[in-house]
Amino acid sequence: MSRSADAVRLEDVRKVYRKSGRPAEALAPFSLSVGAGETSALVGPNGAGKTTALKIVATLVEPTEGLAMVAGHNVVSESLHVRRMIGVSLGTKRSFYWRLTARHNLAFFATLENVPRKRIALAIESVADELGLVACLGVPTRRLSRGALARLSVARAMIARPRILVLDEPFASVDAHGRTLLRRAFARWAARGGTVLLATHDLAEASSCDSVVRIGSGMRS
Amino acid sequence: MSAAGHGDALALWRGSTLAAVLRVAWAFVVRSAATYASYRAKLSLGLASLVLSLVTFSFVGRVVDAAGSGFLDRYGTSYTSFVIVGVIVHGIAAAGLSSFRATVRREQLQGTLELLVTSRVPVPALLVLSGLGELAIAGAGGAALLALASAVLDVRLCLSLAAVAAVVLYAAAMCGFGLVSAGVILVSKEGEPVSWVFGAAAGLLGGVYFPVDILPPWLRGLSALIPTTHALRVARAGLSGYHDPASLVRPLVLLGLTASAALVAGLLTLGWGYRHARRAGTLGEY
Repeated sequence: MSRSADAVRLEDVRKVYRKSGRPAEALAPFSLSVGAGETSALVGPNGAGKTTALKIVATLVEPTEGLAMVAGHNVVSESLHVRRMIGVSLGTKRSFYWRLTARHNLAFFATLENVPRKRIALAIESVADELGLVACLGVPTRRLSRGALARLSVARAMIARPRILVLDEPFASVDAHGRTLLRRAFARWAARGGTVLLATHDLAEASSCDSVVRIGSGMRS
Repeated sequence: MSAAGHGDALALWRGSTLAAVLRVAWAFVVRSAATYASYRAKLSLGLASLVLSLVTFSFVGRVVDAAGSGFLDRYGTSYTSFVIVGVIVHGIAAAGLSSFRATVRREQLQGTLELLVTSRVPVPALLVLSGLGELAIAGAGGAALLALASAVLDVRLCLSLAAVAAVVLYAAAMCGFGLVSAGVILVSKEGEPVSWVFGAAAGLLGGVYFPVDILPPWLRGLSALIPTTHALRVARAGLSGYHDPASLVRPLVLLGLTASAALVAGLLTLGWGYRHARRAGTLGEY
């Protein structure tokens, strides 16, 4: 098995779904390389395959063709190893337990991520402080604004301090102050050697990353 | 996940400590209990339903016992005891049948399924543990009903190892069928026949509400094929203390074999459903 210094490496990865028996290409052959300590943004029009690419990295979707490696592990054959390396935010509005508080949600997912019991409270306070969520912790998630939920989703991805953050539209619905907090958090994450791979429609936010990859064209700038 | 992927998962799972597994299981139980308790009306109505069902069974029991049909002589118990044990034992097992499917479906609908399966817990184990919360709630409800029945009604129960074993094995068998059902739901999203067949069969053929002796002979043959019949026979005999212990060995062995086969089938179906949904990219769809 080949090992790579890249945190995330996609080589000619393609995804074809079958819809009503007919093949539909969700992701045209696409390559990407993101190093450790780097922030990288996937940009592209709707339907270009940004979310599909992120879901392949997150082990949620198997590629039809190509090679996808995360921290040297194959996302298909070593998916559990990959999941130990990543924190994921899929950006969907309803991705929390609505009846539970933000703190309870974070604690639940921290347990699944094997954060030691004694460290969970501290880990929650730390990410909440970093993302401006301290006042939200005691609030049931159904009562939080979309912007707060978006930041909470990123906080959940960060809670176990994984090596790689995989984030779909982390800036969506977030106000200017929240965006600043997110940008700072991602920069700090990368400065500590972590990797951030995010998808966004917002070119201004994308330009704050170390690299921008245009999906659909294979261009990197 | 490929075959190699399964190997990885099993290797890492073996490396996990029992404490880590229990921690995850407990997290699911606490999450379900906290969610359940947050719906105050649901909680209150659930408790009221417990009391009302007891009162109903008590009155129906008076009528049946007064009629003196003799159908219950071999059970050495009143109709009230007969039906309460049937409803509780079947209720716990039915929760095993439905909880995994219901949990997977709910996680799909609320958008948390994909986040759960990107966690560090191996997916088959995660999906199994995720259903434990509802099972625990059903178990607590059954225990409360049993305690209430013993305290308020003329239901005399003696705790027996055979009865506990029957309930555990029956619940394990139904959990196995429930995992099959959850595996199908991962792919079909809505509509699966497994729980419907077992739910309907248990009610009609398993002797939950009436002794299977009154069924016509051809239906009695079918009745012997489902675990409910054997589980209720042992549970009622064990709880009433009115039995020959040797007569309970065969049904317990049958229940054990059924539970083993159902759990293996359930885990295999769950793995198939997960792999299929991952290839098709439909894991988060509903």
